[in-house]
Amino acid sequence: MIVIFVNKSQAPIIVISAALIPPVQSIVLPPTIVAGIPVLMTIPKIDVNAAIEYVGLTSTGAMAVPKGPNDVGWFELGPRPGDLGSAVIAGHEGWKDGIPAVFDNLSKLAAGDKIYIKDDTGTTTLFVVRKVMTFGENDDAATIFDSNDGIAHLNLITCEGVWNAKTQSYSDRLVVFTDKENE
Amino acid sequence: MNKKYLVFISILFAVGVFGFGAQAAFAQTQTSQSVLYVPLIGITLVPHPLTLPAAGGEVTYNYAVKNFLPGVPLTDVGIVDDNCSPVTFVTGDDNGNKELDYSETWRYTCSMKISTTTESSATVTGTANNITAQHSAYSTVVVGSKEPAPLVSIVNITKVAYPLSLPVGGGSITYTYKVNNPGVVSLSNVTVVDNKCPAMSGELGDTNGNGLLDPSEVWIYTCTTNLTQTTTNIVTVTAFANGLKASDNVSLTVKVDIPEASSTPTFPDTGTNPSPQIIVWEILGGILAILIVFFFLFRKNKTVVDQGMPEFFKKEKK
Repeated sequence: MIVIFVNKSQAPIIVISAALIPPVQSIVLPPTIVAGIPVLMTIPKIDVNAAIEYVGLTSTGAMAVPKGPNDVGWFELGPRPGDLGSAVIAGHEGWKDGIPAVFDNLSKLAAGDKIYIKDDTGTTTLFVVRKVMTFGENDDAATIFDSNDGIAHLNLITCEGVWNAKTQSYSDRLVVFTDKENE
Repeated sequence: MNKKYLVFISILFAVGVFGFGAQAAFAQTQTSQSVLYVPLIGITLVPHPLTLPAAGGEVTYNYAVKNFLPGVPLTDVGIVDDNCSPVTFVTGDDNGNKELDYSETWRYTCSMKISTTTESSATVTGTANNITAQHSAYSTVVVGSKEPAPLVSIVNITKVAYPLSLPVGGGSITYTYKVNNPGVVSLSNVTVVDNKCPAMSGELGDTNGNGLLDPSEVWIYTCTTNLTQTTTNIVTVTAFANGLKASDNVSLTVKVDIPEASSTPTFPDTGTNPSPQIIVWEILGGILAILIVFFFLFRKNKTVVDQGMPEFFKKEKK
């Protein structure tokens, strides 16, 4: 049986009962989902070898951050590193009591530097730094999270600038833009 | 003078009451217009006769169509029978407005000759709130036997706003189904299964308690589930009589508007206070200051107590 609810202002909702659905021969995944789930990030130049946590959004709509100073956080509501689009990983810069944090030296990266992401299938994907930019903490982050140029990007974010005791936040964000290196 | 004053006050009061009333009525109209509901339609299909001799004969299919949603009249109502044509409207549009109102039952008919046992289905559609609702009914005319086939019908009478707004994480919805027996034989082993709602209630409406769905009875079922996204459910009723099975189903799409996360997040807050040691020193300084104050207070109290001691205590102390 086919049930069609037609909403004239939107696309119709069509329901096809199981009896009319032909048997599925094979499932073809969309081409954008090819990478595994990231588990480890390595940046040789700044001696980073960090486990990857999965983070979402805070109640205010900001990307959440990893719990501690040593891990980095992958924005799990976006693409996986290696998938088409912009995957995003954030890490802390500085920690309380002078404890070093994973992205303390992120600003030392420059175009051409290499970043490696290992996923849960054991596959390692190479990303190469394209540019490093600084944004204000309230700037539009669309260019970091969104892209549709048919390339797999990985963008790294950390804090920099001046500490604002009132907002308990730094004034700027350092973003490292990278592109997946095609084999 | 006083009389004029009273008249003036009365007019003001009357205008005020009228104004408030008009405002309230407008607000109510606005509210009722702003909420859309998923239209609900149902059809029953009853052939006559239900059995024919072995030679076959003419059968008339009688269709009854109802709207199960008060205040949401259905337009463009039409029936398609997969076995009989044309389906002709007979009666039921009481106010002649060509809309199927909640209080109306529209009746249709179609006749044809059959020579073998024939199963047929009829589907009715109707539109409201730019959504087309649909329901099908099934019947069997038995040729060569005097045992009629059972008939059963299920309709969804759940009033659902469209789109249904639920809080983040989803929300609860209770479906309500009405099952009846448009045939002539009582039905046994009536089961109602919803493919998206497992916790179906027991039936309500077995008035004589015989466990059979009699032609005069209407059984009500409810099922509560949690919806987190737009969901289309199909609920199916099956029942038995004379060794034959009757079945009907109804489908409903509940469109759920879930508050979407912002398409683009804002920047993460990856910083921590760079100099928390200052706070530590401030706390330690405060504690030290309190200790100093307590020290001097203690000394002062001690001096006062010593001064108030009897002489032999002071000597003993020495």
